[in-house]
Formats: sequence, C-alpha cells, structure tokens
Amino acid sequence: MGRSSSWRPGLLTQSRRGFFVSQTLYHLLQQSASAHPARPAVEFAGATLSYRELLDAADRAAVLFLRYGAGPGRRMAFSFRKSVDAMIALFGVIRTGATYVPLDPAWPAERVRMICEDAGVRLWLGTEAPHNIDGIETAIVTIATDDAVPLESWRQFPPDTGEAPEPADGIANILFTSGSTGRPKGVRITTQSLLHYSQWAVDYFNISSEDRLANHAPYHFDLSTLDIFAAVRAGAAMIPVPEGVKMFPYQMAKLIADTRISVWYSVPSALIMMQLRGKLAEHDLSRLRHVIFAGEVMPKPALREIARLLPHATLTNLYGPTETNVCTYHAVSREELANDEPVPIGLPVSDTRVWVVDDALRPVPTGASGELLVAGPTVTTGYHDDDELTARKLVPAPDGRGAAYRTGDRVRDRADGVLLFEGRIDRMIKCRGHRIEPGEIEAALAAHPRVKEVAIVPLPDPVFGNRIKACIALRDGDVESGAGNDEAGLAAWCRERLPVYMLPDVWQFYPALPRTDREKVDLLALAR
Amino acid sequence: MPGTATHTRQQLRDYLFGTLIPTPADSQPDDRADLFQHGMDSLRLMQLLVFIEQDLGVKLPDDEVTQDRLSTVNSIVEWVDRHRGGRAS
Repeated sequence: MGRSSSWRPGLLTQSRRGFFVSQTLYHLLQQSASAHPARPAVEFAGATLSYRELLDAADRAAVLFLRYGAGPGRRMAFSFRKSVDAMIALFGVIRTGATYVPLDPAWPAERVRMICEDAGVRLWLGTEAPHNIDGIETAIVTIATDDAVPLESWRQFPPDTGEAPEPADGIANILFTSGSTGRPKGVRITTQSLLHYSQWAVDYFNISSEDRLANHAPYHFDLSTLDIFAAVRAGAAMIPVPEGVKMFPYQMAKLIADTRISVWYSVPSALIMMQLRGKLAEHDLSRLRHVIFAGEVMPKPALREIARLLPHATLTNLYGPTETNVCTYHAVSREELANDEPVPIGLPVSDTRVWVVDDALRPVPTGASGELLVAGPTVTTGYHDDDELTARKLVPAPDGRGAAYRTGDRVRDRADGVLLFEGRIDRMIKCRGHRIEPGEIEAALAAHPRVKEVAIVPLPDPVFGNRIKACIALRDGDVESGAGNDEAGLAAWCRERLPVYMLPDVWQFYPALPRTDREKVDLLALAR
Repeated sequence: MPGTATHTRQQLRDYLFGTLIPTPADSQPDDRADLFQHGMDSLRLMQLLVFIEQDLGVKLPDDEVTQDRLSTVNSIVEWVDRHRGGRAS
C-alpha cells in the first residue's frame, strides 16, 4: 500500500535521479554565478555579495582549507552564527569535498567536544577557536574586519579553478541531533538528498532569481538547508536572519518588510511570535509570497490570523525528520483554515515513497494509525559510526527498493492519501521545532551526584509546542520543607552540558518518582 | 518601596535567576552581564515579557522589544522605568 507522490503534472514529469549523478552542491553555485553573476547571493547587515563574488570568495577560501587538509573524507567542524562569512566558508568547504559538521557557537563546550570527537573532526572552522578538543589538528578562525569586506585574508589566495570533488560516500554534512542514550547522534545527509530536495523546493515554490529567501534556522538545524540550497540553485538572494533579530518578533517582521523577503521558512513558534507581537499589520509584507513552516504542529488559530494578515501568501506545512529531509508537504487552503482540524502533513514530495505500518512493519489499512515509513532519494544512509542504530531505524522498504526510515511518528491517512500526524510512538519531545530526547536530559541530570531519580516530561504550550518539565527525586533532599531542592544548582549543571533549547523550564521535586503498577516511572502522572 | 527602580530591579532579578533561568546565588550574572550568554532564548524571552507586563504592570510597546533593551538587567530596568510614566520613581 505504498502511496506515490501526487506531483503536479508538468512540474516534474520524470525522475531526475540521473540528472543528479554528476552534480555536487558546488555546481549549484557555479551555475548561478554563471547565469546570474551580478544578482545578490547573500545580503546581511547592509552588505551584499553577488553570485560572482560568492563563487570567487568560495574558490579562494577552498585553497586555504585545502592547505590545511580539507578534502573528501575529512570532516570539518563548521561553527558559525549567521553572516556573509558563514556562506563563503560553507561553499569553500563544499568546494573541497570535505564533509561539514555544523555546530552552534552557543552550545556548551562539553557538547561540542563530544560531537567533534564522535565525528572524528580534525579541522575546525568557525568564528571562535574550539575549547580543548582531542583530535583537532587545525583551527581556522575567521576574523572579518568589516562586514562589507568579508574574510579579507582569504583574498590573498588565487581561486581554485580545478574540478570540485564529491565528498566521500556522498555525505555532504552530518547533523547532530538529540540522542536518547545521552549522546547526540549524527545523521548523515547526502549531497543527493540536498540536490534532490532543493530541486523539489525550487520547482514546487517556483523560486527564481527574483526571489529573496530568509534564512532563519541555525545551520545545524535541517530547516536551514532549504533556504540555502534552493536559493543558490535558483540564483535567488539569501537573507540570513541576524542574532539580534531571530527571536525578536517585531524585528523579524521589519526585516521581512525592509529586505523585501519573498519566501519565509521557519519553525511555527517564530511565526506565532510574529503574529502575537510583531505588529504584522504595520509592515509592508506585500512581497512575501510563501510562508513555510516545519518542525512541529502549527496551531490553527495562529495560522488563521497569519492568513488574515497575509492574504496574498501561500501557507505550506513541510514535514520530515532530519533523517529523511522534507518528505511530505501540505499547502493549507483558505477553506481549511475555517475548520479546527489539525494541519495535515500532506502528500509525499517527488520520488519519495511512504507507508503507514504496524509494529511488524506491515502496511495497515487506509485510515488506520501506524508508524510512518519513508523511502526515497532524500533519506539518510545512516548514523555516523553507529551501525546498530542505523540497522534499527533503516529497514527494508516494503516495495523491495532500498531502505526505508522508521520515523517514530504515528500517522494515519485520509481517503485522499493526505497524511495526518497523530504524535510520537516514543518519548521524543518537540519544542520550537527542535527534537529533544528526554533520555539525553535525563542522562545529564542523572550524572549529578545529588540526583537519585529523574524523568523529563513535556508540558504542552500554545506557542512553543512544548515546554520541558524536570521531575527529580534527590538522594538527600527534604521535599516537605523544600530544603535542599536546589533547582538553581541543577539548572546550572544542565547549562554546562546541554544546549539552551533542552534546558528544563519547570522543576518539580518528589520524595520518589511515582510508579505504575508495573514498576515503571509513571510519566503520564508526572506530565499532568 | 513598591514601584521604585530598586524594587523593580530586585523583583526582576528574583524572577530571572529564581524562576526563568534558575541560577545559584554565587554564580548569578551582574546587572551588566549579557543575559543571552546566560540561557536566555526565545521561549524565555516571551515569558519575561509576560512577567514585565503582568507582574511589574508595565505595558511595553512591541516595536521596542530589541536585543539592546533586553540584554542586561540594567537595560531592562531602564526600559521598564521609562514606561512607568508618572507612576513610579
């Protein structure tokens, strides 16, 4: 009962798989620099880099990176906030054929160390030097003297005009995401996946060199790849959303107006914040033609309000775990806005096959709930250095064509094939689009000498999807009096080990965690 | 002295480092430290704005919600005081 894509006739009439074979991501930039040399590639904080300039800078940066050993089979840490430099560095790395590992400069040193060691990073590229990480031989720290003259020192190198090699095993980057065992896990993202996905996005959203795409999600978040690679494929302008704007609703709306953004893609919470506090009606958002969201469920009331304020824009829900890239999409019609049904996750994107299956991976009848299986060119080839997890999550596709990824998402399909998201089959929590494995936070807290028991549960939140509640039993606390319930100490402990989005928002202390009659921690009781 | 700058500052610090970003007394940032380097994020930012409106009783204009104004205890207190109008110190 595989459901094939209901691709719009005429947009993509045949599989383009053959078309991708000889391409690398660098070719996307090369093609746009040839077709649209003077068009803006990146605009950031008043500085503009044209496609010709971006290609030239990436060609020179690549020479520097090669000198320090970048190239196919090498993994490079990529630690940047939004900037012009980041885009030069990104395409410089891609040009060398190295695999990049995007990191957030704000992550705690301990997490960065764990990821770099797991990924076997030897070469570091970022705006700041790494802290004490075994194995890193060279750190290239970028010092931009002026936003308008990015990476001045790289200009001393002649541009590399040789052929751009493909990365080893076709792996463009490794995205580290929350791991239930307490260690982040690395999802291998192939060049093929990004080429295919960006082609789908350009075709489906009809993106041209006239478009201007916001880049809101951080580089380590898979959402950011649509903005970057669809823009570069189409020769469109990328507008990275600066740190000082990305979480400030009025500033975000102002950026959309001031920089004439035509395609906005973010997690729902950023849009809801703009709807609540961005004064959308005060801004000229007439250029905005696509509002795209993914990462968690978009609440209907907020979406209705956004639709009212942006009558000319399409509203599209994209769905897909990091492991599959975007695998389904749903354009929300104005009629659908009127009802209170949740926004569907929709239909498969081009060349993607999906199945709804039971525990034994057998397809279930139409309309029945089951786990979503996804197969196709955008699906990961597995986890970095974790064959056991790869074998558990990548299973033979029911149609016998390659591997399918077990999403862990519970879905059902309507009679028209449109998929509806129903929740998780495991404990994963979505918060602001970030996936959070409670086990990773629990492992961090369980390592605290005073913690006897810990459980992490979600508290639903209308804006952010969920907030995180930490339920703690201490070895030595007195819950009655509250004495010794040191939530400040535990929170500080977490801040040294976990990214900010994983920090618990609510702390509750218990003499012992409640148990079900089967002796397991009663998570439902704790979430109440 | 409810409603004075001193009182506002203490209320704000109690909320920030007691509730929003629980922090042991000996490692709490000073009033000039950047809160965005200390666990402030979009979720906590929205909660902070609700606290300022509901608990401090000050309605702040949406277009003034910027990183500059929200980055330190000092900048928040100054901003809140400015919008208190004649009601407080």
